[in-house]
Amino acid sequence: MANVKGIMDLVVKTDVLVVGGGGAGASAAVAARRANAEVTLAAKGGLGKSGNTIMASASVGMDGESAYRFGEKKADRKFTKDVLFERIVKGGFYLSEQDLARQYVEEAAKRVQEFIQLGRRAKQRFMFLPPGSWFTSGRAIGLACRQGVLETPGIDVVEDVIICDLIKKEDKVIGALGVNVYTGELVAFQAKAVVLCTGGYQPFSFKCTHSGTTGDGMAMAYRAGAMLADMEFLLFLPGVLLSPQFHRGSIFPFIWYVAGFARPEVMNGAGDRITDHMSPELLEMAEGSEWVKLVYTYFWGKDIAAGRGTANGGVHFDFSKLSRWRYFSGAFKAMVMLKQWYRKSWRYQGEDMSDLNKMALKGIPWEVGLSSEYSMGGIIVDAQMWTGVPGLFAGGEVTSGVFGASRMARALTEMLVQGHRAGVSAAAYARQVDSVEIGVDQLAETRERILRPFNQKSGISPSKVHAAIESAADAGFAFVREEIGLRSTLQEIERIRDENMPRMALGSQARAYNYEWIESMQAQNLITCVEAGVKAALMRRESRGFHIRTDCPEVDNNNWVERIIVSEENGRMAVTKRKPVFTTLAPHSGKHANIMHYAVECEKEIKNYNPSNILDE
Amino acid sequence: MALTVRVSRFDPSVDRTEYFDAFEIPIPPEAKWTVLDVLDYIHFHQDSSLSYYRHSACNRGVCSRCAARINGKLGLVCEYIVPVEGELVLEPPPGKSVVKDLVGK
Repeated sequence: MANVKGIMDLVVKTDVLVVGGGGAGASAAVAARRANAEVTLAAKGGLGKSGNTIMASASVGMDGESAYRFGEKKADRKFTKDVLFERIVKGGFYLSEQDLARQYVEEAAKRVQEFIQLGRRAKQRFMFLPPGSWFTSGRAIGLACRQGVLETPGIDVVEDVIICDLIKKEDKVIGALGVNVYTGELVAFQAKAVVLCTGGYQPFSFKCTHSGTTGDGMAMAYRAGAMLADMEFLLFLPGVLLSPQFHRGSIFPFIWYVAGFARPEVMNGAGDRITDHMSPELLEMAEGSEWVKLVYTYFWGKDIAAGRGTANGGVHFDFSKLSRWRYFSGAFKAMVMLKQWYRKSWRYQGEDMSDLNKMALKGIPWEVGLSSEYSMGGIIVDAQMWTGVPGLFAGGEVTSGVFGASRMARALTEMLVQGHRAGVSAAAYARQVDSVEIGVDQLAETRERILRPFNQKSGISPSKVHAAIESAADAGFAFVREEIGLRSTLQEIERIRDENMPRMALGSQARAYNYEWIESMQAQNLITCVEAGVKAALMRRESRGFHIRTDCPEVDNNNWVERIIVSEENGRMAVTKRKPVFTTLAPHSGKHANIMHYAVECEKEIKNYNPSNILDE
Repeated sequence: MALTVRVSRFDPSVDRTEYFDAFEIPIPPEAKWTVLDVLDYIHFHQDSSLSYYRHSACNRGVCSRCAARINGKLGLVCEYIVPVEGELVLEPPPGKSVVKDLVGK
């Protein structure tokens, strides 16, 4: 160990290292600790304040029967587990791994019930929405997660530590290497098992997500030999403010729209009402169901991509045709609801939105766009949340498999269910194996890679490399895609990877709070995720879920009910495909003319139940 | 039009005392930039060595981790709207030791 201490500032030993300070990480840490493992939780930021957990706006849910039994008399008992399962699988265009979807459905009730009780003990409010969801603020979700950790003695929490890479000996993960952001110290974590709960990846410059959403866990797992899948599927949120700059990235208009109290008209940049081009059944699906995100991403996206967007590449929420009375009574209802969490009128998250009210009253439209909020893709796991690499588990958004090509149920429920399961599995594994001493051999290469930007005398700022990756993704990998754009994005990503990444250099040699240094690690992780996503998007010559291709508009069930898998083979990214396992529901063969055609057919099939309330992040 | 931003600098590994750097920021009229937009602008275009809270940030006033002294008063960097001209003084949050520049712990 003396040698390791020579190149590390600190060595921490534990049974289970949980990586991630959001809800999945908190759930995993609590579950592993309850199973009597020694647990260290490493958060990139603050506990319960890291990652997209707090950005949600925010619901957790279960089937209606369970919600009824939990005491919610307004719960809809017709919204059974089977209905929920069917919606997830069919709404996910049959790419779900059905054992994972079934696990989500079966375990949601217990996890969500426990979570709401934690939240209430943390003095947070939850509002029940039929058929089986509870709505609250993202901050409340974070505080409830934190409450779980605080109520579980013996979890060692280290905040503001970015885990840079997993440490392996032979085929086994034996720990991880981290950097303390504030001190710059290098920390080696020796652990029998590691659980990645690091969330999704945000490839684009227009963000409604947390700044830490750089796909760290996906890229680390990939480097450690795990497989990624479904990386081409990113969920877009229609209705994120593009301007003014102060509000850029706020999801308030989306919440306003789906709440439905005073719905604006949606106009494109040319002044045409976008909904005029939609069939009545699609409009109904957009205004009253979980399909809203996909339907509007499809219709807005086509207009924006064809050059009919607004100045900043979005659409307008236009209130001018709404009567004053309709607007005021709608706004009043919205405020009554939101004041439960934000106390003041026109307060949303931490922001004063009253200027939007003034704009609407003056007849000035809100300029909103499409922003990615969630990655369907991620690490392949089995129902035990094992990644296939000995000692490595994962839970929450960082994984793939529950939601297929489009998420039709709650990310926050996935976070609770999978985080818990990953913690249980990691603790069980840790009981069976001995701790392996980390040696210099396993650390030296990663350490050298992480510190490389300090030794570069001149070069490119990692922040600029990060921005260049985003520009490349914006250009060809966004909500509407085609071969030619994807090819040039891939070319640019490969150029950045080969020419810019090795030349990253820092403006300051300080180790303490050197954000450029943190960015150098984040950019390396993000570029791996984007490369995987673009390669998968190129391979998938059809449209499905949130992979909308103008050059291949058909949903092709004859050839493409396949998951695209990405893994590292001899230092190169290999892309293959395989079918998900259809345990319960099998897809129909044939083709649909486009994604909306599939959506309408799918909705008809599952029409026997249509949950009316869709408030979600 | 430009905003003059005076930013407190201190790198404990090099500096003995805190000092101020001044930056001129061209802010588009009516754009309503926040202090965070200003700091990102400096980081990208003028001085990438400037440290400010950025590594696990919500940018929506939810996490409250980006607090700094803005014109002498404690405020959230991601929520404070700056004027398009005049002067803005940025210092680390009070009551904490300075880790680097505007970052305290």
